[in-house]
Amino acid sequence: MSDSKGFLHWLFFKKWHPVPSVGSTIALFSIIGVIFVALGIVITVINNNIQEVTIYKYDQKCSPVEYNKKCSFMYKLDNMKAPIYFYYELENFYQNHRRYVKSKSSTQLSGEEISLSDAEKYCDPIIYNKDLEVWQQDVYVTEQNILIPTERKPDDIASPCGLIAKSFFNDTYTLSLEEKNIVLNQTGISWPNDKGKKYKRAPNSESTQWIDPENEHFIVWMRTAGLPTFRKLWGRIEQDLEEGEYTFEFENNYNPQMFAGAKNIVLSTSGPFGGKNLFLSIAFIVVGVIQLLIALAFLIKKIRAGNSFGQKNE
Amino acid sequence: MTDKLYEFSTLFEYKYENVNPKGNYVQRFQSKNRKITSNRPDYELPNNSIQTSKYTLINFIPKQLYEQFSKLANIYFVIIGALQMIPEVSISSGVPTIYLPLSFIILISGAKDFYEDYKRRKSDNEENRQPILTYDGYKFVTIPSSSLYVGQIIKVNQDEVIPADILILRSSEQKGICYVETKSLDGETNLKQKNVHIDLLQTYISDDCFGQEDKRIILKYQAPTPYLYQFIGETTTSQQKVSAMNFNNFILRGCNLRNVKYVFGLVTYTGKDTKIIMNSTIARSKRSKLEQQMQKFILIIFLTQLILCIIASIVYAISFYNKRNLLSYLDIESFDNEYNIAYNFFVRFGNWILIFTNFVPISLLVTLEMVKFIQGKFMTLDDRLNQPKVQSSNLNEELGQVEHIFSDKTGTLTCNIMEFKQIIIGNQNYGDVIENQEDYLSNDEILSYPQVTNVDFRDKKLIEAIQDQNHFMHKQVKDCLIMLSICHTVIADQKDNKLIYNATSPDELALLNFARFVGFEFLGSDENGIKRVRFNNEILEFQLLEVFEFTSQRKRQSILVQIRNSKEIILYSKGADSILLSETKLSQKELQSEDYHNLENKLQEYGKVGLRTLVLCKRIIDIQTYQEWNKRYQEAAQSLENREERMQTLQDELEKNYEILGATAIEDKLQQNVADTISAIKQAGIKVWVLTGDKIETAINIGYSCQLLTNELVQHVIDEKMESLVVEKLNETIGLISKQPHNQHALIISGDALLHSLKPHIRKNMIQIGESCNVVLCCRVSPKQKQDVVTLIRNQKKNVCTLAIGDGANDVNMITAAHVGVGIRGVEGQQASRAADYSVQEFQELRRLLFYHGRECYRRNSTLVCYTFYKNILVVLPQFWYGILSMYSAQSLYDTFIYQLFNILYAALPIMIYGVFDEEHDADILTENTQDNYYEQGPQGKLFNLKIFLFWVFQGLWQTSIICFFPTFCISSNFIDDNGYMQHLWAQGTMIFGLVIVVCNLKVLIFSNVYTPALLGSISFSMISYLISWIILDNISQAEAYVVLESLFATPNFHFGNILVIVTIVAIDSAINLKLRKMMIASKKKNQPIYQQPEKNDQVIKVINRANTGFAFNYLDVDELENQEKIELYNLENQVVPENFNNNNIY
Repeated sequence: MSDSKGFLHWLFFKKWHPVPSVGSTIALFSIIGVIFVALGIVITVINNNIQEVTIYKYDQKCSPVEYNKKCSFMYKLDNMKAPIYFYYELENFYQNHRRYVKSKSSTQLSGEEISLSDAEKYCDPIIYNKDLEVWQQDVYVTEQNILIPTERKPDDIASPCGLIAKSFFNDTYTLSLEEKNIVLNQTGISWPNDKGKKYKRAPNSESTQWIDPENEHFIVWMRTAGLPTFRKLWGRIEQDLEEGEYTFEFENNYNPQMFAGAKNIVLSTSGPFGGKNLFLSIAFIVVGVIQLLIALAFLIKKIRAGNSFGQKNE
Repeated sequence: MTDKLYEFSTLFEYKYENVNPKGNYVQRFQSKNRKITSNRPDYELPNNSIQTSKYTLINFIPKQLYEQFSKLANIYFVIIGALQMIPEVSISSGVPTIYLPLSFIILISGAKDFYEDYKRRKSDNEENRQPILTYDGYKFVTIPSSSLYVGQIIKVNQDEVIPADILILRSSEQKGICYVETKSLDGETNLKQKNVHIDLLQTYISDDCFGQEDKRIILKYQAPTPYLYQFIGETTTSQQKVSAMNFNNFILRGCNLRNVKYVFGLVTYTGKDTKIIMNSTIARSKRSKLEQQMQKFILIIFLTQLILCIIASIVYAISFYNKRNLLSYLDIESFDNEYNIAYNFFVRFGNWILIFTNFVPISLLVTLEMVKFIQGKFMTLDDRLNQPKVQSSNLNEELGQVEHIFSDKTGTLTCNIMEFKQIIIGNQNYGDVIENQEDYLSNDEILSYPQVTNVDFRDKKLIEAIQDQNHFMHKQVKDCLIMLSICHTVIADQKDNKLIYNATSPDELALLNFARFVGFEFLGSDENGIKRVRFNNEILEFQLLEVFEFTSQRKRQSILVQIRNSKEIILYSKGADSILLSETKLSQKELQSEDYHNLENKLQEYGKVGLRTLVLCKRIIDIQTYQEWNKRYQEAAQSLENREERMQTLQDELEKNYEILGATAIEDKLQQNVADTISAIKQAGIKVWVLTGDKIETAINIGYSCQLLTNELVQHVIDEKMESLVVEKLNETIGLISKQPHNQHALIISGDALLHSLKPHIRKNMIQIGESCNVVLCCRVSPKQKQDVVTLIRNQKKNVCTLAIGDGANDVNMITAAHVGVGIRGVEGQQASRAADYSVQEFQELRRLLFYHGRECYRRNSTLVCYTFYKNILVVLPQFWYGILSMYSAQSLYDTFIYQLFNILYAALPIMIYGVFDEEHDADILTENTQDNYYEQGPQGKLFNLKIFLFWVFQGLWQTSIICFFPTFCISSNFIDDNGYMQHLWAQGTMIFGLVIVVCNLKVLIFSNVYTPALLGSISFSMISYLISWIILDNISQAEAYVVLESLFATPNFHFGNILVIVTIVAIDSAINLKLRKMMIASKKKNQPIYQQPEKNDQVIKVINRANTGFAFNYLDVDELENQEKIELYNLENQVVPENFNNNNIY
């Protein structure tokens, strides 16, 4: 009993007074400032070693610009070290719009059947097969992105339903150098665990769904981006690229004019912390400098106030 | 004979018409004058039950619901809940999640109300079930107090409480006299004498005659009024004899019967109609200043919320309108509702309001209430205080903002014990010894003396003078002590072979006990008026001839006796030096003698330390003079015109040419450390007003002894009775004060004068004087006036926080009227402490209560409120900032489930622990309040005001913008690991939410003054509990945040981002905090000295107050009752007369 009382007393009444002295405050701020500036410089160096190539508005490189057609263009690349990541980037696409973000059914995507009322509740306004895009209505997209024609009733609940699924980005790419195909590895591009757990094929997938939810391009698409300009991983090049004129062939299915945006291709090598991040390097340096300035301000004050200031610290 | 009987029946056979058939309670029962017959209860009038509880079992739920939903905050949350159920607007899939915390809050406060009401009900029941003896026509039977009706006859025994307002019919005393103690009504402990009207005394000649037909009486009397000292009525006996009854024949509910075995009374007012209940004010629910300000801030926050929501929705609606054809992926057709710009606006507005729900902190009220409750508990547990009680913990911080204290005197500043201290006889001063001196009577020695109360006298010198017949002072001392033992009006009683003195004045009791202590034992007087005193086994006998009572004008009491042995006639007088010393027969030479100066000096010395002094005189009157005088006096006593005046003149004739016997000094014992406490309170800048029912002299006296008054203060006494004179005096005082701006002033004002000064057109002057006076003493004020004074100050100075402290039922009004009421649990019962918000044992505890508990509660609660606003800004605003990146489409960043737990789990505990345990300075240093005026921050409202509030809001603004954008650019703009994976919206939201929790928990560390293991533990707990819920969420595949945890922790940029955000915010925030604190210290240093001792200014005119000699005496004032009645009648002119009074013709 007395022990527990002692413990409670210790818990609530053992008191430490956090009274930093002016000196230690100045030291602390300076140290943090120096570390931050140093970190910022390191990140900048790393950033500079990462190669990032953006091919803007690649669909405009074919003339005439036609949709649902194959098209190809040439693009000169420098030497790049494997692994090289192949992204598509969309501009001015609000994947974080409220109406858009909520329009999907997690239950349905995990392979279960949903009731009509749930579909209405979660997937509005894309509920039935007939609400889907025309190309989605009588086709089944396999895990390997192969389209198999099927027949489904237009009044059945679309699976997957909802705006995110409907707006699935369906351009495909091949890359070659002097007729020699370069392999774009399209497996393992989604977050581990997403495939087969959060996104799971329904029974009789081929006859009831219009796309295999375990299609990784689909999974990547379904994880909505937080910014209106975003990149999504499409494939991985697991060989070094030599300098040369590369042929990009793509199926031009997705029309960015629908949202007054653009679609770009991004190729990037990777550093120890992933891709290029200019923000981090600038932020660290700026915050570090602010810390140093605070330290300096305290120092000036200390000197000005003389000794009396340093003695009494509250 | 038959004729007579016939008259009987016609006289008594009438129908009761005491009730109006229509109207509300007042119109029905309180607006008609009453006519009742004894022993014939009027069952139409309400019975004697009282009800202070608000609810019954049946009406509890509806009434409680009504009360709950008349609170604005609750309505707000009901509306939010309704919004949550509209599918288009809802951000929680149509589930009204807000109803969960809301019902929690309602349940808790409902349970609290229920418990409090249960306690009230219990005490009501106790009072209603009190057994009362009533006459049922044949005998006295016991019934519960609640079933008493008007017209019944009851019997009340000694020391019992009177259950209803009664007219006395008969007392166990022969002369029909009885004594009552009215302390529960007016706080005065001296007994009041009441008597049976002479006609009734003749009617009811035995204890068992109440059933007889011819003993019936009819009583006509006024309708119930709240005037405590007024009763007007007339009785008609069966012999048709009409006699007028007044207040002297009337006893109020709540009085205690003393000194008589029993009385019989006719019930006249019951239950709600009794004076005491009509005088009890309904306790308002009190809100602290901080809470009132908080309400304003909540309103500001709410308006900000509305504005931000409107801005967001307008921005959305406009940008949607501009882009409406470019958002094909949203699938909005031109026929959809969402295509409509107005529809868009309203739906988004609803969304935004829901996102902003927490902006108006739902948790604030609950957190604050809980913290205050625990603070209150810790106050009660403070072992440096004597078990204080906290009745309304919601006023804790108000204790830290007090600027104005109204204090009762008796029982609050003083113990209400008179102690005999010193006596001056001739040129000798006795009693002025301290321990270990040669003449000091030790504790052992004292056991051989008579054991008496109210005496603290240890001087052996006097004892020697008494015992030693040859001592040079012997004769003088003996003379003086004989005087003390017979010049009084005390009744001696034998009880169990012990001599008991029944005194109406505590001063007399002290004097008499002192005489007894040194060997002069007053044995009592017999029915022939022979007073006997025993001294050294010798009995001295005195024939009492006349008693001249004390009055406030005479300021003296005299007794005319004849010594039985020597037939010598002596007039003994005691009273104020100012009167008696001017009536001495001393020659001019003697007046300049050393003895006389010694006496005068001593008296002044006593006055300065607050001892109550009386001068003792005697005059030997030769028999012829007496006989001649007596003849005239008897004539005067029987005259019908100007009787009082004539008697007064004759008394004055005898009361002169005195021989001075000596002077006494009695201490009205102060409670412990009262003087220190008061001077500390004054030093802290708090104004102290003493409101007392006492006389002016007594009040001044106490003023000196508790250092309220000093000789440096210029005293202004206003005790005029007429309005015009009071106005004149007030103006004069204002003039005097403005002439001496460098002096400190004290105002001493009597109740009568106060009454006039409170009139609307004079108030201004009164307030002006009150402002410029450091000390105000109000004397002879009634409970109602105490309340009026408090209300006056409250109304006049809106921002001032007042505290009233008192111990008696007469202080209840004042206690409830002030912002904070403190009750002292003393001898005078529990009414005050029950009505009070806080109750303590002694006045000195106020110091710790205010300077430590109040001050710290104010500081902590201020921070708590600001922080609660801040943390909710912190959690809400990132979503607003995020709107910039999501077209203001009202996309929420957080998981709904986790979001709801924010105020319950992730950011609740640390601030509560801070609120209870944080401590800026050591408790004793704060209580001392001498190193610095730590208290002033509260009255000046330095810690909680608009500026501070806006500063916190500003902190929230910049910090949220960092919390929102840094993570976004850290993890969303590029891939973040060597698999090339991109992060997404929900990872970003999770990171932001996590940062919100870390930052708002670390913030507690920044502003805490002490770190306890509990504080650090609770902060860790908050963060860990978030992590745990995250882990749980991470495994639910349906959740948006599924597997986000692993992916984030595997991401270096996540960690970089966290470090960046936390260090940036914490460093800048604590730098601001440090800077502010240090600037405070620096600025204080500049303005030194901080703590100004009252300077000795050259310009101060040396004040010479009229020599204050400290005369004071408590006595049964014959004028008093009349005066009181007058006061109440003045009151009638002043006040809004209650409706029922208009219909009332006073007989």
